[in-house]
Amino acid sequence: MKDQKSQVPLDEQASKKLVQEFIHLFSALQQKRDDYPVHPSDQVLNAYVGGALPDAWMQPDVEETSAESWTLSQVSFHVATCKRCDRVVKKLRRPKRKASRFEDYFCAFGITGQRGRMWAFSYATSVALLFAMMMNVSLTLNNHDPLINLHLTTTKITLRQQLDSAANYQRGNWKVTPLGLQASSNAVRPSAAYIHTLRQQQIEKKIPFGSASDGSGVMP
Amino acid sequence: MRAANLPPEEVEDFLSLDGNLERAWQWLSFAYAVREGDGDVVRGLLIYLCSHSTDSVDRDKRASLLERIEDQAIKISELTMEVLVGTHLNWSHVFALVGKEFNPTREKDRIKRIYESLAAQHAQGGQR
Repeated sequence: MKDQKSQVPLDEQASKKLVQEFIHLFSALQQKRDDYPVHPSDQVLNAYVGGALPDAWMQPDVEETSAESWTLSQVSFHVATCKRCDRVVKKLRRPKRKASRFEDYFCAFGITGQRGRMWAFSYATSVALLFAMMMNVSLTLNNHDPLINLHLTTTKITLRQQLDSAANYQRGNWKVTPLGLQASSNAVRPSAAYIHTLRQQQIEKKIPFGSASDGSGVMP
Repeated sequence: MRAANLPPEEVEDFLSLDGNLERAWQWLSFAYAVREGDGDVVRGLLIYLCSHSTDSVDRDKRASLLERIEDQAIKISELTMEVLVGTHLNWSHVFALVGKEFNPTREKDRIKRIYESLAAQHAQGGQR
């Protein structure tokens, strides 16, 4: 019974006391050095992180070790006490950052690295600017004289569509958009009687749609 | 933990390298304890001591090691001093690594007894 009780792990206080009793054995580990004349090569450190170093136990006389004969214990002790190699090993152990979706797209087009991304960003910005300039020109043209635009865009459509457009323009249901002159959401198809009146007026006056320039349009 | 696999006589020179004889005997008593008793339990005690050998905690290293312990993806034989330093393991982690619970105080006392016996032997040899 007493033996079973003694299997309970030590409490924090007792554990600290236990560590203090043996801490002097690990004094070499308590401060990292930056004055080692010899360091394991990157290849050796890579092998250490990958668990591929020989496991034969040797005396860890680290300072005299040649780069070719590092063992697991030697590299372990060296890395535990060397500032430089500790940094390298930490970097090697750091999990590779997962590529973002944008980076995946870049990679699909063969764009890799910081420089490649900069080029891609510059190219995308240039295309966006060009597109914005084109939009600006389109808006300027459309704002100049909607009637001309109306005329140009309706020459190849049916008379019914022309009448619809004319009626809606006259009612103020048109709006200028980057893609040209478009009917707004509250545009309505004119009644048959209204269309008939318009058609009669056009026939009588022999005026094509869209040719009016006095701002009154083609409406009566 | 690794050197303790060898007979104490073979590690004696290594343990005396820094010239501190008392410290060498203490390390040597760990080596004898491994040979005389349950080796894994002594290694477990060493793992705990090594993981607490620095005041500062390396959070990344600790998290990585705990994950491997919980996944049972690491064995005692794969642990090195560098992997343990700054991880501040709990006893439960050590027990998980060893595969059983043990009484650290009892092991510590056993190692101390071995150390005292070594020191006494040396004193007798010196007197002679």
